[in-house]
Amino acid sequence: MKTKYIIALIIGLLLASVLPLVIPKYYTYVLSVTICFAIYALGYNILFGRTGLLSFGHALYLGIGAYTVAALMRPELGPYRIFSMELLLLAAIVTSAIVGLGVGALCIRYTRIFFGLINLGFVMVWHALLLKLYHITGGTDGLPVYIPSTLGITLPYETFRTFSFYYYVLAVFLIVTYVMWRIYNSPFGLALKAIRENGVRAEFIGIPVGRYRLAAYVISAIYGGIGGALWAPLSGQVSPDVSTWLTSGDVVMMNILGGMFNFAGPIVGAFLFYNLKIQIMHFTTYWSFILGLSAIFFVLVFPGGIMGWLSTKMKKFYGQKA
Amino acid sequence: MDPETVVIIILNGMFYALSLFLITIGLNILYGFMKVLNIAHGGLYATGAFLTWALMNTAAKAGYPIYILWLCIPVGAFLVGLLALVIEPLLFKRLYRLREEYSLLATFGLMLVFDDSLRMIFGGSPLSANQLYNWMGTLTILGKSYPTYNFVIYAFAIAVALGLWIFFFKTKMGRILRGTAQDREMSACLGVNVSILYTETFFLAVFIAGLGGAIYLPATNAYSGMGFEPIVLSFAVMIIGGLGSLKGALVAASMIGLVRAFGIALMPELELAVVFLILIITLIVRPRGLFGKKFTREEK
Amino acid sequence: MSGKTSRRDFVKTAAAGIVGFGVGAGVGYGASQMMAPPTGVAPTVTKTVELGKTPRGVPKEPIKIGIVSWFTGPSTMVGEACYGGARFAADEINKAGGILGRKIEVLKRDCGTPEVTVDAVRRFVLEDKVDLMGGDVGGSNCNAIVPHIEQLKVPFFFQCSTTVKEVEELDPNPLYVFRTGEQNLAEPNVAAQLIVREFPNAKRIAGINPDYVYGREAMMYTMKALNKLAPHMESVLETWPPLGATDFSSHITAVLDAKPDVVITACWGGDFVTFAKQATAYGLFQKTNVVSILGSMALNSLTKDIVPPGVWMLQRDYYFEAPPHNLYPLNKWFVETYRKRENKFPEFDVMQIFSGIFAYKQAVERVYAATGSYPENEEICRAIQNSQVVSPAGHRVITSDGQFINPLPYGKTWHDPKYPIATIDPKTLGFIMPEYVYNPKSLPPVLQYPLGTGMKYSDWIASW
Repeated sequence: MKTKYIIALIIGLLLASVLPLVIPKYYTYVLSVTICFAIYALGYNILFGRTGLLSFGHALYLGIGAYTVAALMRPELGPYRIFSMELLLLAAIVTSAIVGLGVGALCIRYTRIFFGLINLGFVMVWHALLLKLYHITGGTDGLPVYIPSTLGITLPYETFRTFSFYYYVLAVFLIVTYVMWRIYNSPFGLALKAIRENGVRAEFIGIPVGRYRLAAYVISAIYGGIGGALWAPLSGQVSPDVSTWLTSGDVVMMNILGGMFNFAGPIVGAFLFYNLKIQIMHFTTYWSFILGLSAIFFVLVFPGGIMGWLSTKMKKFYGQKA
Repeated sequence: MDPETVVIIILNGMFYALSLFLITIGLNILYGFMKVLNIAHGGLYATGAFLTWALMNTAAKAGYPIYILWLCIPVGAFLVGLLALVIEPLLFKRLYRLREEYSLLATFGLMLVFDDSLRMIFGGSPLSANQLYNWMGTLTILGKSYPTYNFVIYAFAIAVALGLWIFFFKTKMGRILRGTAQDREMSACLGVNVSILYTETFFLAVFIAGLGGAIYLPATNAYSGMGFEPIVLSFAVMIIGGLGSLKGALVAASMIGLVRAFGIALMPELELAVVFLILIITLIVRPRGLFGKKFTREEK
Repeated sequence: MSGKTSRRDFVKTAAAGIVGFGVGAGVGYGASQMMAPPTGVAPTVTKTVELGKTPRGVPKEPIKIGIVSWFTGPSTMVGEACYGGARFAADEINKAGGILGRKIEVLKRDCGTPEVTVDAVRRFVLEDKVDLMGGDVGGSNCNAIVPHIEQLKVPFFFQCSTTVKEVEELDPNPLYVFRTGEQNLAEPNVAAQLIVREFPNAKRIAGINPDYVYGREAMMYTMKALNKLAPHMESVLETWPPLGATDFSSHITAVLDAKPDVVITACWGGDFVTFAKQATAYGLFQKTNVVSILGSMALNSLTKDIVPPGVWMLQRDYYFEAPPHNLYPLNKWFVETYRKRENKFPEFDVMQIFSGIFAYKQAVERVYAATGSYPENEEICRAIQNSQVVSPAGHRVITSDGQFINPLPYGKTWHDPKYPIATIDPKTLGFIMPEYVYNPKSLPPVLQYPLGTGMKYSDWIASW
C-alpha cells in the first residue's frame, strides 16, 4: 500500500518537473500562479475545513505576504533593499504570523457568521489602509515587484516568470504541503477536527479550544503570507485589490470546489478555480457570470467538492467502508 | 462652518445612510429569520435600479405624464420581488438546510451572476433617469440649494422603517414570523406553513432592496457593478448595528453616513477609511454590535 | 532625428496641420487616403537588414491587436470606446487589403486592477502572440504595465491614461510605449491656462477629484501651474471622492461652503455623470464656475438634463466637432461612419486608437518599402517615433519618445437642438496649441517645456 503511494508521488513529481518543457510558456506562468494559490488555499483549509471556521477575509494574508515582498524591494530603501527570495519569504512569514496572531486573538472568540464577518471587517480595514497610506503603499497604483534572486541567482525577465521560478514555487509547495500533512495527522490536527464537530464537547474533554483555534488561524495566516510572497514576483505588481472581500471569496470558492473535508481538496480546488477563470476569461468578458453559476452549481450538486465526490466514488469502487 | 452648512451636511449624511439602511434591513430580515447571509442582495438592489430605469425610460419616451413615472418605482421594485419568487424556491430553499458557508458561497455566486446579467442586458454605460429628479427641482434651505427629491427618499425610508416595525411587532403575521425565527420546528408543529412563510419573507426583503435601488435611481444612476460597494458597506452596518437588529441597522447606517459626511467636510483625506475604522472600533469594544443579541455558547 | 531643428520642424508641421485645418482637408478623406506618406519627414529606420541575411517575408498569419481596457465595472464605456475604435480601424484597413496583405484581428481583455492588467498584457504577448496592443487602462494600471511592456517588447498604444510619474520615472526613454493621447501633464496645464484666460479675477479654487493617481496629479499640477500663472489664486478646498462614487452630495456641499470662484473636477466616466447630476441639483453650476478636465469621456451619457449650458469642458485631444466637419471632411467621415457603426458619437479614445493603428500600419509599410524585409517590432517602433500620421483630428506628430502631439480643444457646453447630448458651443470652442503645452518657440520662454532633456514637469513649472 505504501509503495503504491510512493510510486504515485514519484510519477507526479516527474510529471511536474517536465511540464514546463512541454507546455506553452504562458501556461508555465499560470501553473506557477496556481501553485501559489494552492498554498494559500491549503493553509486556509486548516481553518475552514478542519476547524470549521469560515473567514470571509483571508485575502488579508495574501495581501500582507505580497505587500511585504513589494515593500522590501522599494527603491526608496536604497542599500537596504532585499532581493533574496529566501529572506523575503522569511519576512512574509514573520509579518503574516504577527498580524495573524493579533487579528486572530480578536476573532477566534466567535464562530460561524460572526467570525466570517469580523474577518471581512479586518480585510476591508487593511484595504482602506492600503488605499489611503498613499506614500507607503502607492495607493491604488500599488507597488511594482522586481525580480528577486532565488538561491542567490538572478535571472532575466522572461526566463524567471515562465520557467525557473516555477521550480522554486514547486519546491516550496512540496515542503509546505508535507508540513501541513504532518500537522493534519498530529494530535493537534485531530483535536481541530474535534473542535469542528463540537466545540463545547471538545472543551469538556480538555482540549484548549481557544488556543487551538488561534494556532490554526496563525498557521493559515502564514500559509496565506507564503502564497502571497511567492505570487508577488510572478505578478510583478501588487495593488490594494489583492485584499478585498471579493478576493477573499475566491479562496472560499477554491476550497468548496475542491472539497474542504479532503486534504488534497484545496489544491485541486485552486487548480480548478484559477484555470477555469483563465480559460473563461479567454472566451468572454462575462466570465464572472459563468464563475458565479458554477459556484452555485457546486454548492447544490457537489457540496463535498470534487475530491469529496471522487473519494466516495473510489470507496464504492474498492468496496471499502465509507 | 456656518450652521446652515451643518444642516446640509447632516442631510447629506442621511441621504447616504438611508441607502445603506434599505439594503441592511433586507439582509437583517434574511439573516434573522432564515440564517442566510445574502450577498446577492447587492445584485437585487442593482436590479431594482436597472429595471426601474427601463420602465422610466420607456415611459418618458412614450410621453407619459409624470405620475406614471412615479409609478415606475414601485412597479420596478415589484418586478424585482417577482424575481425573488423565482430564486427563492430554486436556490434559497435548498440553502436553508446547508451550512452557512455554503449559502455564503452560493449567494456570492448569485451576486456575480446578477452583475454580469445586468451588464449583458443593459450594456456598460451608466444609465440615468433624471425626469423625477429634475421635476422635483431644488429647495432653498437656509439660503442653500438642496434637491427636493432627497426628501422623498427620507420620507420613504422613514415609512419603510415604521412600516416594518409595525409589521413585525404589532401584527399577527409579524408575531408568527418572529416565533418561526426562534423555533422553526415548533412553529411548523403549531400549524404554520414555514415554507410559504419563508417565501413571503424573502419576497419582502428583496422587495425592499429593489425599492432602494429604484428610489435612488433618479438621484444617482444605474451602472454595471453598482451592487458591490453598498453590499460590503451594508455588512459593515450590519456588524456595527448588531446582526438581525432593525434598530441597529438604522442607528449604524446613520452613524456611518454622518461621520462620513462630516469627515469629507473636515478631513477630506479620510473618507473611505472612516467607515471601516468605526467597524474595527466596534469589533474591539463591542463585537456583537450596538443592538446585537448576546452571543450564545453555541455561537462562541 | 536629433537636434532642435527637426523638433521645430515637427511642431511647425503639427501647428500648420492643426491650426489651419486646411492641410488635412487637402489630404482628403476616406481611410485609403490615410495611407498617404507624410510629406517633409523622412522615414527613420535605424535597424536595417543585415548584409548576407535573407530578408524576412511578409508573414501569412493575420496581425493581432490586443485591446486591454475596462470591459466590466463602472468604466465599461471606456473599453467599449477603445474596442470600437480599434475594430473601426481594422475594418477600414481590411477593406483596403490589410497591412501588406495581412488582415487585422482585434482581441480584447479586461484590465480591472493593476495586477490583472499586467497579467492581461503578458497573456496577450505570450499566449496570443499579438503584434501590437492598445487601450485606455487608467493611470494606476498604466504605471503598473509600462515596465513590463518594455520587457515584453511589443508596442503598446496608450489612450490617455499615461501619468506624469510614468513619463518621468517609470519609463523616461520609451521604445515600445506610445502615448496616442495627452500625458496627464498636458491637461492641468490647459486647465490652468483656461482659468487664467476665462476667469482672470478668480481667487478661490476648489477641487473635486477622484482619489487615485490621475485625480491627484490633475489637481496638483493644475494648482502648480496656476500658482505660477496667477499667484493670486489659491486652492481653498480639495475633496477626494473614491473612483466609482455614487454620492457626491457631501463633496459638493463642502465645496460650496468654501465659496470658490472656480471648481476643478477631474471626475470622468460614470463618475462625472453622477457628479453633474447632483451638482445641478445643489446649484453648483449656477453658483460657481465649473471646469471639467475629463468629463468629456462620458460624451454619450452627457444628456441635456444632466449637463446644463455653460460648463467649461476640456476635451482632451479630440472633440467630434473639431476640426469642423465643413473644413475637414475626414473628421466628418469619421464621425458619421462611427455613428453608423456604433450608434454613438466617437469619444477621444476612439480617435486615439484609430490613429495609433494607422501610425503602426504606416510604419510597417514604410520600413518594408525601404528595406524589402518585413520589420520586427523594434524596427516598427523606431519607425513610428519621429513620424507623423493624418488622423481624423488633424495631423499628429509623434515625438521621439512616442508622444502623439495634439492640440487640446476645450469649450463651454450648450444645448444644440441638433444633438441629443450637451455639446460644445462652437463660439466658445478654443484650442490650446501643443506648443503651449510641450515645446513652444514663439512664446515667452517661461512656457517652453524642454522635451527630451529629462527635466521634471514640476521643475519646469517652478522655472516659470
